[in-house]
Amino acid sequence: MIYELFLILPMMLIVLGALMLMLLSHREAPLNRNMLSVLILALAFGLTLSRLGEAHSVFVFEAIFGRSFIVDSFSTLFDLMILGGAMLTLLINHDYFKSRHYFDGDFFALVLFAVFGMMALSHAHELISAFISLEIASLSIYALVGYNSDNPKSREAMMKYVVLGSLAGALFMLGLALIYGATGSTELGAIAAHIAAHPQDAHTMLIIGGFFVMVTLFFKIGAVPFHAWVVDVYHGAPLPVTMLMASTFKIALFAVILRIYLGDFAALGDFWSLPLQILCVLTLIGGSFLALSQSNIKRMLAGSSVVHAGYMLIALNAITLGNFNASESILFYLMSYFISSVGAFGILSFLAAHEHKQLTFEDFKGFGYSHPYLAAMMSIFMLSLAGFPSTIGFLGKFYIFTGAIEAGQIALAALGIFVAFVSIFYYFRLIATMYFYDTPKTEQHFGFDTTTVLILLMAILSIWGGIGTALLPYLPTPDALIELSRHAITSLD
Amino acid sequence: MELYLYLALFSPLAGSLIAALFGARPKTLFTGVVTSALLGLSLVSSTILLFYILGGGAAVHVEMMTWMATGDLYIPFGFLVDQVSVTMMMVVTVVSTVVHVYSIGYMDHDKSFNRFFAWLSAFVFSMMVLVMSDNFAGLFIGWEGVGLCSWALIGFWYHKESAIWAANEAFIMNRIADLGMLIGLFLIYWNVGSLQYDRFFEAVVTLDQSVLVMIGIFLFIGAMGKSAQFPLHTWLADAMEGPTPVSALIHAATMVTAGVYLVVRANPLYEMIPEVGYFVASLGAFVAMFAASMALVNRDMKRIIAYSTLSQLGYMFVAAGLGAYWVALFHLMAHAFFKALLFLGAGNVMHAMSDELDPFKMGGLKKVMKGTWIMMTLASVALAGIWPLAGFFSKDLILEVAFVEHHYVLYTVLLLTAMLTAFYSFRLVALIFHGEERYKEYGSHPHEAYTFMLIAMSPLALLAVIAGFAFKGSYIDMVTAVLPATEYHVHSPVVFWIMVIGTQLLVGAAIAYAYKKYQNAKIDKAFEQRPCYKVLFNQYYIPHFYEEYISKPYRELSHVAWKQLDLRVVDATVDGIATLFYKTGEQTHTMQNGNLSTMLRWMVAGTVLLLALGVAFTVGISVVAG
Amino acid sequence: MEITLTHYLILSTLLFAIGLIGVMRRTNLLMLFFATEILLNAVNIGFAAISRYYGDLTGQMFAFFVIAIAASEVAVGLGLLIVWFKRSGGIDLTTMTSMKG
Repeated sequence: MIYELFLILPMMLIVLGALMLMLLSHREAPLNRNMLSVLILALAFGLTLSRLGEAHSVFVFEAIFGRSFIVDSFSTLFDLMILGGAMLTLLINHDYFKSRHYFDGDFFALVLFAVFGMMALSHAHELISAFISLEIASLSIYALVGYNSDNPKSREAMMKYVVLGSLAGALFMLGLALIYGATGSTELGAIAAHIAAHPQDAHTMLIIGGFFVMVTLFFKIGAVPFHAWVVDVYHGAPLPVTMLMASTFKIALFAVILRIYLGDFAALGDFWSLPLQILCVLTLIGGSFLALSQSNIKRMLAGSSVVHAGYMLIALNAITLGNFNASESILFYLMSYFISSVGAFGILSFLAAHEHKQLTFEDFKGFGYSHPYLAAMMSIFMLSLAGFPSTIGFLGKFYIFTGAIEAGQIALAALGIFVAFVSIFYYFRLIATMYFYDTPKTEQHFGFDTTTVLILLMAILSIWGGIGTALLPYLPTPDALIELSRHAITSLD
Repeated sequence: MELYLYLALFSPLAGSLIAALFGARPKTLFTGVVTSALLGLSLVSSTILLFYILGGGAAVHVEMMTWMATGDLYIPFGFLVDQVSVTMMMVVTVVSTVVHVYSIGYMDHDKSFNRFFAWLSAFVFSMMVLVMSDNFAGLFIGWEGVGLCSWALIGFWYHKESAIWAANEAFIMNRIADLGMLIGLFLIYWNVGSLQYDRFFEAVVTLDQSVLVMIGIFLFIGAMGKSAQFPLHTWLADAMEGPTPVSALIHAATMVTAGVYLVVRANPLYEMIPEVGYFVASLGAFVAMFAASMALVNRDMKRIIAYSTLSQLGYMFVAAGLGAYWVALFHLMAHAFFKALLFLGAGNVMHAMSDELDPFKMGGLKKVMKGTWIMMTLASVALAGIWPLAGFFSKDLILEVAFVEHHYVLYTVLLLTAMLTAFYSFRLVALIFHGEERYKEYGSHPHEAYTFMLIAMSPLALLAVIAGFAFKGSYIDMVTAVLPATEYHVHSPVVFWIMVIGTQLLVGAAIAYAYKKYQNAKIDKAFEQRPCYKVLFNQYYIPHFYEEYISKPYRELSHVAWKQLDLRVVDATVDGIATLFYKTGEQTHTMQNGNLSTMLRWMVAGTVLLLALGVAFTVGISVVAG
Repeated sequence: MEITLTHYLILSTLLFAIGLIGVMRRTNLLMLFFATEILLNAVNIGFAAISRYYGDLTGQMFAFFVIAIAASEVAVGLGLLIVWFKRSGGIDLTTMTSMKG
């Protein structure tokens, strides 16, 4: 009992923290709410970290909740990634929060609620609880997207996201009803048992139900053709929220996708492979077009995040075809994408905080001369996102493509490489804009504070992840991350 | 001992990084002091290692970390201090410490003072990596590192067009040679499966003779580039565009000897392929003579010394090619000391004469520059090979090797070259320091260099004098532990003494003639009209030949390739692809019209279509299967 | 005629289809929310019917969860709708295209 309480203590901490922040929200206390929420996240992070590497798998409070929530090595790793991601997102936006007046206590409470939802998602072992966790996270994020209600773009983004999100939620519920109808349960273990006990062709209803569930999840990660919201919502949302959605939320979504895939739907791979391949192709190509045509950096990054989801779908596809090792490559890719995209968004947030720019390509003309350090780091992030060798992004793509080739998906891997080549066009466009135009010398805002130090850290990590094996033998290498992922995945079997 | 190894290796790097931090700042004296002090530390560590090895200690071998491990490729990053590398380490650290201290004075008025020290220390670090690595991969990294630093330092005064040109020339020539070396390394890896020295040398006996010949030739091509052997020699003379301390350190004492080091290091390989060795020796002898002849008439002080370096490198290759590896290494060491000294002296003279390089515009400087005069004379005597200075012991040894090995042609060539060497060295000394004070016509006001610069040079002077007779015995004992310990003795004492005394007399005569002819230098117009003078003065027209028959056609070809191929084909294709992408992106724009209804329809339609496809596919499969 | 599970499921499907069409055709934001409510309630009918069919109460419990979630979604949506109406004076979604491309 006490042990189980200890297991869910991080999640409880987050909820309590969120409630506390809500209570504090209207006090005029001279309180740095950002730092307070970071502190809460850090506490939870520390608690979770103490369990890392332990191999365990416990259904918490089985007597009360049944088998709906599980704590295992898999969820521990994802908790760490989610908590760490949220923490870095809040910290890197330190300057941005200070520069805007509308970030009050409620904002941070909502962030914590969203984090709670994401963590619960990685623990969910039952589809209804997965849905509820997803909705907790989504509802908080809806509110966060439209948080600056003075900004018409922000309102519009939220409206679009809410409506599309509730349609997606309805599809999830429909799928759930079908699964429930087919198997009489929504618990993952029971579904797996049902699949194993019945012949392959008796699963039509289950397959269709599963399909709707996956559609919702693909909607949330922004796979084409369910991507229509991505660019607008990313654009309209306040920068910290965009970062949270692009990186941390995506991590949580892949937690549940992987859990469902590896645990149960693996047996239904025959049905899945074709729709998933189509989805993959559409996402890679559609995302590239989306990213190519943007003139605003935030929108370009949003478009490219669709492409990155596409890369991970390649790996998911390899899993469907039986190459379970590919799941590690998804984990590694999530981390590598997180590092590079948070860095890139961090620079945008730093500029938005200090210079109140619109952040179009136009604004970055001559950036290399006015802000040489930031421009250099931006270039690192762009290179990493494009998957340039000796950056962490390269390694991430490398694992994905080799996984796909091992699974016999040579055409998809080739398409992925082609799309990575295309991505050079939009990422390097920014680098070219920064360096190939002269600019009247403007004043530099570069000093060491929380934001810039973290951006620098992300830049170092991007490089370290790419060449770290060679330079710093005593630090953990990307191999260690892979090892960690592998260990986490084993707890799913 | 590992601690000293790491200290010796990494303190130059630390110095370089510290100096680089202040690289863009105006001069701060302490960068020079700190880098020099750190090099001093490296020198002390190397000395400790030297005494450890001298005292019979086993070679220090450390494996710092795994550098690359993918699949079957396993390259550990290890370092080895044995008798050979410790010799090189001593040479590198002694000369570079002296040069660093000297440079504090020499670069005194340069506004890029800090940048200079950053690159100079970076060079030393690369050189240390080169000589200390225990495998060919590390050697290659150091090899490229010194190439890079050399490029940056030759082109140090990048506002001078000629400096940039010389830097690029050196870089490109070296790249051509490095390609050869790289092929050699690939061949080694392919045939042996490892780049470790010890693994390779063990495997040498089992390899096919033709493979060994190929490896030997390709490695030597790399050595030819670094050590500026014919036909890749032109860059060395042009590299004199760099600051003089750079010439002393890089283009006389250390980097250019890397080729010799490579051949010495790979001695088990060259033992197996004597025919390649003989080629190396012949080429060396040819270059010795060839370079010395160009030095005879040149009117640029630094170039004369550069040609003499080239010539002495030729000597080293003769020794290495004939299998006398320890002799080559010994001459390498002795040469490093006196040649660096000569260059630093030349630097003093340049300073005194406001960067004048033509010795015909100097003369009589010994009155104002006594210290420099003494040191340069000592260095020249050592270079000429007069007993008992360093050059006598090392250079005469090479002559003996050629004689004993019955390569009388080589011997004769080397003997002649020794006379030429003596002649041009003292031509230079006579022109600069003796005779009338011609500089007065040109309005110069020469002054002696800072005292501390002279003091900094003095260890080199001391070594140039004593390196031969003081060190030879213990050196041979030490180094023959790892290198083939062939004794080279002329059997008959009569012949031996005739040779030694004869050589000394010939060299002495050459010196005397040089003094007599150039004591009161008159520029001999008639002499300058002679064809042989013209040929020599224009460096056998080789640069001209390169320009006319390699550079120009290449430029033409590049131009054509640029106009026709690059602009029309490559650029057009790339632009076309880019435009295609952007265009399509803009076309698809319209699908993304920002309307919520459209988005909802996309979503529903997508779901239905995917579902239909999936179902159709599954049904299709079951129909086919059923 | 006895009403069986199939009938309930057909009803549920019909309702879901109506909801989907509503979602696709409506341009009034309020009507959109109605449509999504219909979607969720269609699913609820399904849950309740299946639950009854299996004689298992969990399905009905799910229906309650769905109602709760639907309510919170509508709460968020309507809150936003009110702000939207206040600022722009209309709730037609065709006006909502400031971001595109």
